[in-house]
Amino acid sequence: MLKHCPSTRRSFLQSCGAGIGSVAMTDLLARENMSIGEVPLHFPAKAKHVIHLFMNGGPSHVDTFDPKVALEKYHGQTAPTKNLRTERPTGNVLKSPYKFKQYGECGLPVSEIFSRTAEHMDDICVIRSMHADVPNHEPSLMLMNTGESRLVRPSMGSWISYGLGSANENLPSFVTMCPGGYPIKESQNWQNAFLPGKYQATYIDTSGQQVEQLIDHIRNNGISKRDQRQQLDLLKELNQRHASLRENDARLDSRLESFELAYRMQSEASTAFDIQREPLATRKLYGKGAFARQALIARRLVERGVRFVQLYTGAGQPWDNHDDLAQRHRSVAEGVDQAIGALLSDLKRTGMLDSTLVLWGGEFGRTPVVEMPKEGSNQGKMNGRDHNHYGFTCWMAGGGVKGGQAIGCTDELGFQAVENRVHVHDLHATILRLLGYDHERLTYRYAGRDFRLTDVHGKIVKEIFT
Amino acid sequence: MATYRKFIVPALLITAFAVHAPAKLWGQPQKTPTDAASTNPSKLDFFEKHIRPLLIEKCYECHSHESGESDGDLFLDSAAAMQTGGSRGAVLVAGKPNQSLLMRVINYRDRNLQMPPSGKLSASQIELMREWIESGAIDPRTQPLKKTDDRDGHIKTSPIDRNPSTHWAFNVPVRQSVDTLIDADVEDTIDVLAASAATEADIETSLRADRETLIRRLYHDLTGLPPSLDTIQRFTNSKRPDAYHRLVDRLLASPAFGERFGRHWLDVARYADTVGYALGGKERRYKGSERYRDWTIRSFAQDMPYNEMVRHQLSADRTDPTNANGNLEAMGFLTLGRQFLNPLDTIDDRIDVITRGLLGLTVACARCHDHKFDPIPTEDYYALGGIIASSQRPKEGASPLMLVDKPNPVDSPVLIRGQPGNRGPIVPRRFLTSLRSDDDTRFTEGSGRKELADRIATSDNPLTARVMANRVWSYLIGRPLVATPSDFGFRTKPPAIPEILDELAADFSMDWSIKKLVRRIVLSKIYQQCAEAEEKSLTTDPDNQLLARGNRKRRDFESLRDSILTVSGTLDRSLGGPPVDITSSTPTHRRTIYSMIDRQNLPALFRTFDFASPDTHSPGRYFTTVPQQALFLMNSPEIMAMARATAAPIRRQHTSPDAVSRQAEAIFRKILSRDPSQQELATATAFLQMPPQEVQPTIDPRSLWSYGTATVSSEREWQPSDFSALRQYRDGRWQASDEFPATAPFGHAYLGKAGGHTTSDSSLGVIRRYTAPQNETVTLEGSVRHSSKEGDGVTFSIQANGKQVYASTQLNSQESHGPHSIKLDAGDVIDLVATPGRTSSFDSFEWTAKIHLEQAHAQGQGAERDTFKHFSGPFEIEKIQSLDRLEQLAQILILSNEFAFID
Repeated sequence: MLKHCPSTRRSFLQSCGAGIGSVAMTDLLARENMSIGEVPLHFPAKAKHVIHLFMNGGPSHVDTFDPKVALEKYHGQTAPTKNLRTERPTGNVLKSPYKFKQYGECGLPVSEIFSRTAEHMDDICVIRSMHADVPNHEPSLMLMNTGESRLVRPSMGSWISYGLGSANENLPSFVTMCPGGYPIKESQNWQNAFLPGKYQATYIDTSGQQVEQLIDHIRNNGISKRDQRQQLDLLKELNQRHASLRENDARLDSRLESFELAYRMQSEASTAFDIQREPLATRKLYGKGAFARQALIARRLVERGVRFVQLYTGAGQPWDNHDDLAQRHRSVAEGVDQAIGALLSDLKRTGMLDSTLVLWGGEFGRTPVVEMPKEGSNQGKMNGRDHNHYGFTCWMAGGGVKGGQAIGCTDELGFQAVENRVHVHDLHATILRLLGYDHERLTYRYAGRDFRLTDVHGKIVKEIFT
Repeated sequence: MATYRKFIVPALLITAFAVHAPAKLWGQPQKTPTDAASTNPSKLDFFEKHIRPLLIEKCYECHSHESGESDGDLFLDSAAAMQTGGSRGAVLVAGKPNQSLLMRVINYRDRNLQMPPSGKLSASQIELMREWIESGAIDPRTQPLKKTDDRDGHIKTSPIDRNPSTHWAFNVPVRQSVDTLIDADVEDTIDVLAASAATEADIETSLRADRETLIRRLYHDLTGLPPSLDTIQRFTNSKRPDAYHRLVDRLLASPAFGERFGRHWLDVARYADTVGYALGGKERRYKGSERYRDWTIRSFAQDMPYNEMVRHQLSADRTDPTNANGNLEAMGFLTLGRQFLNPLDTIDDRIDVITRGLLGLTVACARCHDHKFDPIPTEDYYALGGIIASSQRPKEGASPLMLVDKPNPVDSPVLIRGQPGNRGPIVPRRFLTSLRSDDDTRFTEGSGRKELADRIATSDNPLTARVMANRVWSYLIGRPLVATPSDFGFRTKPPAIPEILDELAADFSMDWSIKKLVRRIVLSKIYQQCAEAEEKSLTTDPDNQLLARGNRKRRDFESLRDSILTVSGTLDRSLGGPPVDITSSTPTHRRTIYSMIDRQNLPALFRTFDFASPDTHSPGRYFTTVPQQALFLMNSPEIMAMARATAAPIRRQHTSPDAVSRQAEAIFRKILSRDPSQQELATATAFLQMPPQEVQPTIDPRSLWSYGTATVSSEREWQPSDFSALRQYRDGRWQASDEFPATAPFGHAYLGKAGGHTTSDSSLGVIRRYTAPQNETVTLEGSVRHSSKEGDGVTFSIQANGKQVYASTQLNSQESHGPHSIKLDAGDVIDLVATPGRTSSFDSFEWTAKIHLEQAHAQGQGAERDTFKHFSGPFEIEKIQSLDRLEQLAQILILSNEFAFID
């Protein structure tokens, strides 16, 4: 991975552009109270929010959105192409256990396990030529989330929160949800690294359903609402006296205001995370289970101005099916498909899809060839697929994305992206562009240089834009 | 003595240039414009009149030797440089404006490269440029405007060629002398320097703060804790002229000083107690990590000279090999970084903590290419890399934190572009090019770590003392003199009054005593100034670079928490030891420095309060203001517990008829260490006199379920009567008696999380009962299952308000039921009844159900009651006492700005 010293002072100043203490930003200790979370847009934005449906573990592209007839043809035979090296030994070609059907006016084919999502193909742009760097979960998760597989770097959500700032000061600007625990690599997936702490995601374990399980200290069990209001009135009075004896110090006011914000947030966040407030019909639309709950919360958060919402399929790596892929992919998909379809319908119905970019994908895909049986790794079975970073699929919808099209392609078997290849850095550059940023100019000065999400890489995939 | 370091270009560098050179040679040579110029005076005039001024005004700032900037590796201040071009190639093609990059960029035709960035040139300016290029781009400029210091007179385009001695920070600091005392109030040289600077800028320096402010300030800066009212009064009432000196000495001698400064240093050292992410659930805790933390605290407390601290931290395997003096633990500085899968990343982490932490140089930038701004070639990175790579952790050693030299230390190759497969020349292990003298050869003792330590821990090193003095200054003054405390490179400007840092650093480097440095600073007038200042000082010097006033500080996370513990009287002052979890439900009262730092999943509380990231070296803390901080202070059980602890003795103490105002007064004294004003006392007393409102207890869903048996019959549709609870809870099951199976009619009857077993009597059902806590409408759904093929199955029925909602019999089968909508009044019950048929053999069953409130009622109440999730054995209902008014007042004072800020 290349490292990179600050692009140029010029571009640094340029990127910070109007106001927002650009030069002072180099001064770590001058940050107090500065709303530095707003880098002026470089272009008119198509999207204002992102919902990232993270299929952690690596869903198989050839069993979902990138069907390959050649798999039928060569099933059980040696791959006619080179068998690329992945994490574990692999063998002959394995056909997809699922049926594919064409959907929408665009006629893009989608696997039966994503039939509900597929109803939206005319709004979805499938990128079939994704590729990453290595066939291992940890570095690939880091790459997808932070643009850097090994070193500690801010996540995409942190960058976007830093750039766009919050549209609702009563809520965090970056929220990550995962039911029942963390994905692997845990909170590093949504780390702020050297960006200020407020740009780290607020992590919510959605196995809990009540708002106090979702947000730390959102409720007080020892002081009634009325008493707390009286407390804060007293606090205000004391603080005002304190401030009146001192020179103008904006920090004093802003700390005072933060208590008022927190007080308001107690009800705002309670509302945002309480899906019981949704009509029963809407809840039914999303279906049952934690992912459905997450998806519905995501819509409610975006509606309230949250910039980046990331939804993990589940703790650990649910899509990592080295064996029993036919059953396990089906069952994992079952947990998310209806909710994703519902989310797209719901966003469209409310008109929010225009300004909300929905991104679907894992950290990589899976091999078109079968994984060889190995004791201790796949229960000695021969019915699953290994990791595949050479080629995989992501899709995007809404937020300035031209739906009903597939971009790029993998080879005959789906092993390797061959046409119009899109690296993870390119995906990041494109997402930032949709949000109105030149990825080379959304920078942050740290440890003597300007950092960016795409490091020294990234080319924009123009075909994606409407 | 300052040693002049001659700048040398080692042979290796030349190799490195060969790698990078092509980028600069893209520009195609053209005919020499100077020749043309000599033949065409009118074109020359045109250049001088129109083009040169335009270039100077619009381009030189970023592309000239004069400004020292060459963005995009491009200079525009000589004809030759324009021919050569920058990273994008030649700037212009003489005679062909349409093919010239310059025209493209000034016309803003390229979205990615628009020049000048500050705004497009006017149409007429663009036209002038076009005309000039079209007519042959006559350019008489032969030399860069400013003569370079390159010995061979080459045009320099690389920062690697910069002569270190031209940058202030690379020159050894020298003591300053001042001739006259311009103000009777100041004695120290640094105060004279600051006073002169203020006079020159025509601003007044602020007055010395009063004693009360000073003692609060000193306590905060030297211990991180607040003084008690008694302590303050003793100091303010003291008649001794040396009271302030004595106070300083006392605080410097307290163990709390070691903790305070130790924590500052742990930020530098990116200290954590865990390795970070560990594959496959391996142990994450760094064994013995706290030994480094405690060594740090002890070293500051005992005033170990800083140069010694540096030597131990880098090479204690040689300075204290058997750990006889406990200094081996110092090596945690190197070894407690995040654990990476790739050893190259571990090396990078260590290079970074050494160079940014000790030298204020961003050497890690040179991993993939020469530094973009500083004379730090890639070779330097790999010279240090070789030292680290030649060190290893011994299998057995006197400290788990130690490193030793490998038996066969080796030099590292340069990894071109940082890529392991792309090896460049081997670099000898040695010190940084820009800090090396001519006669300073390669390192030879083992890995070379000791030699590296010696090169850093010396007063000959221009950076070591400066960087540390600047850090100490910022801990005490609240702002660093050099704005980027871990980057003293070429792009970093000297402080507004550079002599102050030079004086302090030069003085410090004589004996390296941190306490002496601290004492000198806190005894200075600069330190003692009050934060209030005249308007002009605030407007002309908003960043207080001229040090004409004090800086109000805000408590950091540790100081805030420790101070709250202090005023609540619960602070545990014991020193050192294994880390403790300060976020657990039974919170500890240890100082925050002793808390477990899990760098992988740093608790949100730390992040919320801007704790230094333990992932990499931290140059300084942020101070953000986010509502999550307020939520913690307003609502967390920890803070409320401390408010209670603060109020309790005061409530006991003041019981007289005028207790309320006495209590208010006492609580001000205890928390803010002062008496309330009349107005404050009145307000606080009024607050205390308002009756508090009890908090509505939240419903614990576990309490809504009970487990029992009741008489049922099929004639009465299993309508239960005479509910009686199962009394024994064993191994996750409610059952009839301690013995299992119990006597008839209970038999194998039990209820557990996921199901249960029937009684042995078909007229006695086992019942899971839900009792509605309020009037509510619910939906109920669930699933029943009987697995065995034997026997005659189990009958499941649901009864609510005397009505049967559901009934079925399952034998080796299963079924989902619901959703059933049920309206309940408070106290109504829903019974989930299971009964055997003629036989109760093989009558194990599974039955889970969820009750969903159709509307969530009051806040603080979940909408779901789940047989599985909310199943429970006997439990104590957690009764949280509401805070009374005195406790609420205590909490508010703890939350106040006065408590959080230090004047």
